[in-house]
Amino acid sequence: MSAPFYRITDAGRRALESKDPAVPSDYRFLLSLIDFGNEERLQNFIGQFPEQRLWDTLTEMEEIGLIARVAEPAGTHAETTAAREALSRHGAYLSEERLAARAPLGKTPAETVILIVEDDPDQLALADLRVSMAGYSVRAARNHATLLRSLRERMPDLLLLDVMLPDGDGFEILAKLRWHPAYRALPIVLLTVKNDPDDIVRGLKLGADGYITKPYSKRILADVVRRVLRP
Amino acid sequence: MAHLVAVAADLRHLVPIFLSNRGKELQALREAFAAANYEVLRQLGNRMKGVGNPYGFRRISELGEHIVAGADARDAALLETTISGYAGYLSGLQVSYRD
Repeated sequence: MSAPFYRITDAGRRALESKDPAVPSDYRFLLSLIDFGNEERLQNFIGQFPEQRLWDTLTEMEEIGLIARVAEPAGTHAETTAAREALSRHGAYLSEERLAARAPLGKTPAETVILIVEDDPDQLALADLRVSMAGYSVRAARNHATLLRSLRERMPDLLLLDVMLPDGDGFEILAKLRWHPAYRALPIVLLTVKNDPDDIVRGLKLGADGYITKPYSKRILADVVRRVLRP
Repeated sequence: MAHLVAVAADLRHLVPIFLSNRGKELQALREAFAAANYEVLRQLGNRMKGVGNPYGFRRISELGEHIVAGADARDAALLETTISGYAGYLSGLQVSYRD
């Protein structure tokens, strides 16, 4: 992990400086390390801390506003490495090559149309909710045939594509879209239960911009979509 | 037996449909088991695996894993026990919502 891509917030400073016993000791210690920007100590600490627990703790601290991510210039090595590692811990992967080659979208979330292709109604409802809650406009397709129809009607800004569809294999659909000049640049994120490393590598090599394994959190989905769109 | 599950409040309006679909799924599992259709059982198990956790119903994902394992091994005893366990779980579910 490339450590300090977080900064302590005002609320975090108050928590750190308070004597309140309600502030967990893990929070207090991480706050002190982040505050002082002591990367060596933080790396040592990370080595002793169960990795998943560390990330869960940092996520909790971010969600309650004690820390915030440091806004580094997009595309810096530190930023992309940290982002990649953070996402991969939660089953999400990005194609940095494709992201680097694409200009920012230049639309607000409300103007951004995301097409979700998912055959399972419960998974579709959940993805629809998560994407809508992130502020994007959503369209849906339940299979390969309706996906093609939907693409012809109106090009979305991003495609969230389930890999296992009743009438098609998502990997094959992705490969075909990448061969078509009209869809070569379309941002595509695969959304799948397939979490085998070979599948992940295959998806990214076929031209996926991102790869998210199910189950996924709303934060991860929103984070991947935001990074792929480069608003 | 009561099974208490706390679900994220933002899923509140989706949960009734989700649970209705699980009821249909249980019926489909019973029919596939009666017909010894292991491929359908495996598909249903995979669906349970994928959909349980995201909605906060971890047990459904676990039961789905058992269904897949039972279908792969053609283990009728495991499948029967798991399907029965699924029926008991669904009938005893008590859902609450957390912010």
